[in-house]
Amino acid sequence: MRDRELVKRFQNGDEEVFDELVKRHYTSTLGLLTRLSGNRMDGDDLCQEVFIRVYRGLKGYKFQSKFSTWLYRISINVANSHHRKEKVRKLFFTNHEPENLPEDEPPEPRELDPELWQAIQNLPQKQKTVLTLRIFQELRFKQIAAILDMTENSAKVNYHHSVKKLKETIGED
Amino acid sequence: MLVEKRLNSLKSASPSGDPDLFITDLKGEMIRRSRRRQNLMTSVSGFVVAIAIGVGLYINNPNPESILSSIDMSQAIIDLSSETDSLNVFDDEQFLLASIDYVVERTELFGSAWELVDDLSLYENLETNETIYLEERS
Repeated sequence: MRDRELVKRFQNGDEEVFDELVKRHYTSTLGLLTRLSGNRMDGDDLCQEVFIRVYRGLKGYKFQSKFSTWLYRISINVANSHHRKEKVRKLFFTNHEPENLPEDEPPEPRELDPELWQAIQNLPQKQKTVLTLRIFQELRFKQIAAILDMTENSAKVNYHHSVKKLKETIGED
Repeated sequence: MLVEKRLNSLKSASPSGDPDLFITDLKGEMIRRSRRRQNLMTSVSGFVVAIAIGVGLYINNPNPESILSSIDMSQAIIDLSSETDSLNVFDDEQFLLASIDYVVERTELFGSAWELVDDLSLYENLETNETIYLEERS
């Protein structure tokens, strides 16, 4: 059954299908939010926030875009909101190291290539979002443009700027 | 190594989790938030009712000075020269502790209020054609 049909069933009162929607999109949403927030712990919290918002907003969802596009938009709004709060928090408190996950968990992206990971985290928010959607979520520029409400060309420009900036930062140029 | 290759190697570190466990946690959190919202609504309603009663009393008796003048204020002045009554000290401490408890409990209320404000701004986002706001880095 497609997402659209599940959403329609939810809107008609069958709330059980929400679990199925969560199961379908959980892994990719968690991946996106972990990369945008910079660590798994925040990714987990933001993922919960996203699906709570999806649950509350699903009845009013108007099918103006694909469900996955809508979900990406909510995820990015939640990640941006978190980013703004973190900036304010850092003004008043010292930077905290993210907690390490239990040993049986697979390594986090930041543990595989810390230099590159830090360079990504230091990108402007828009460029980081475009890069993450392109590289890690493997979306086409057309999809990225639809999610971020920008032109396809603008998505490409942001992507190329982000890669150029990463090269400069890690000294590849 | 080229940046593109290094980026692709990061793809292998996709975080994974148990969706069933996540759904259980999610439902628990939704119930918790729903209860907090109900508590907040109850508190706000109580406050509104208290204000309404206050306004009602004022309308029925628009001249509160007559009541105030009938109170003997000399009874309310604490005589500091007299020996401290241990029972009063206990009462004061109890009052202080109860006040602290009250403030701490209300902190939860403020938290709920902020969550509610967050929720309301969310609905703005969802209703206005699901627009997205991307912040430019300064």
